[in-house]
Amino acid sequence: MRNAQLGEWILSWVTSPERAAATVGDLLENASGPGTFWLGVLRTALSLLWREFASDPANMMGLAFRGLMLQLAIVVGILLIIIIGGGFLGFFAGLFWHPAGPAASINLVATAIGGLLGAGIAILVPFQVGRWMARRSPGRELAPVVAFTILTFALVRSIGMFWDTEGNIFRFILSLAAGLALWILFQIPMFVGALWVRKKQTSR
Amino acid sequence: MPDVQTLGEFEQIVLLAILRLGKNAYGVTIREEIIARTEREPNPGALYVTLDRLEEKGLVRSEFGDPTPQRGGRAKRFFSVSAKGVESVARAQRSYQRLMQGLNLPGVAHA
Repeated sequence: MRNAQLGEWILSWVTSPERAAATVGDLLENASGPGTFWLGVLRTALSLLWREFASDPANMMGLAFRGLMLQLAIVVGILLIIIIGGGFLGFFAGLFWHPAGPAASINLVATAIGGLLGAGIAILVPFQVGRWMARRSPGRELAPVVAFTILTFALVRSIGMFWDTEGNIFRFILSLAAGLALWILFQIPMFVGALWVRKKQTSR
Repeated sequence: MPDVQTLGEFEQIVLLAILRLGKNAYGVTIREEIIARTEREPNPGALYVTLDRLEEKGLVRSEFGDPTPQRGGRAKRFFSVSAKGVESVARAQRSYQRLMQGLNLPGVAHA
C-alpha cells in the first residue's frame, strides 16, 4: 500500500490528485506484481508529462529559450560578482594580512564562499528559473522543463559537433558526459522548482 | 448537428470501447475491452493521455464513483461518450465504410 501512495504522489505531479488516485487504483487492479505496477506508473507519468509539452511545443520551446537566457544572465552575473569580489578581497587581504599570517584561513574562507556560490549556481539558479518558467505556463508548469531539457541537450550535442567528435570515441563520450552533467545540474533543481509552483497552484 | 471533430485511430478505438461498455467504462475495463476486441495491448500511459484529450475536446465526460476497498479506497473514474463524441465517431466510421465500399482487397474476407 505504501507503493500505491508513492505512485499516487508521483502521478499527482502531472495530473490532479483525484485523477492520480483513480489511475493508481486502475494500475493496482491491473498489476500482476510490483514490477508491472511501477512500470505502469512510470509510463503513465511520462506520457502525461510529454503530453503537456506536445500540446504546445512552439510556445514551450520559446519559454525554455527565455529561461536559458535568464539562467545564463544570472550565472554570468554571479561569476562577475565572484571575480570582482575576489579581486577586492585579495587586494584588501594583501593590505591587512601578512603572507606568513592567517593566509590559510583566508584561503579557507575563500574556498567556502566559492563552494557556496558554486552550489548556488548549480542548485538555486535552475530552481528559480524552473519557478520562473512554471509561473509563465499555468496548467502546464512542467512542460517548459521538458522543453528546456530538449533545448539544452540539442545545444550540447551541437557544441559536441563543433568539437569534431566524429571518429574520436573519447571526445564523443566527453560530449555525452557533458550533456548528462548539464542534465543533472540543471534539470533536477529546475524540475523541483516547477513542481513547487504546480503544487502551490493545485493546492489553492 | 453537434460540432464534430476529426479523430485519430486510437481515439476511435477508445470511444467505441467506452460505448460498448456503457456504464462500466473506466480505465481497467476500457483497456480490457480494447485488448479483447482489437488484440492490441495499449500502454496505460497512452490510454490515459487519450482519455484526457478526448475529455478536453468535449467528446467524453468523466465522473468519479464511490471509493472501493479493493482499490485501497480509491475511486474509479467512469467515462461516458458525449453526443458530440457519438457524432464524431459515427462520422469517422462512415468515412471508412465509404472508402471500403467497392474495394476488393485480395486475401481479406469481407463481412
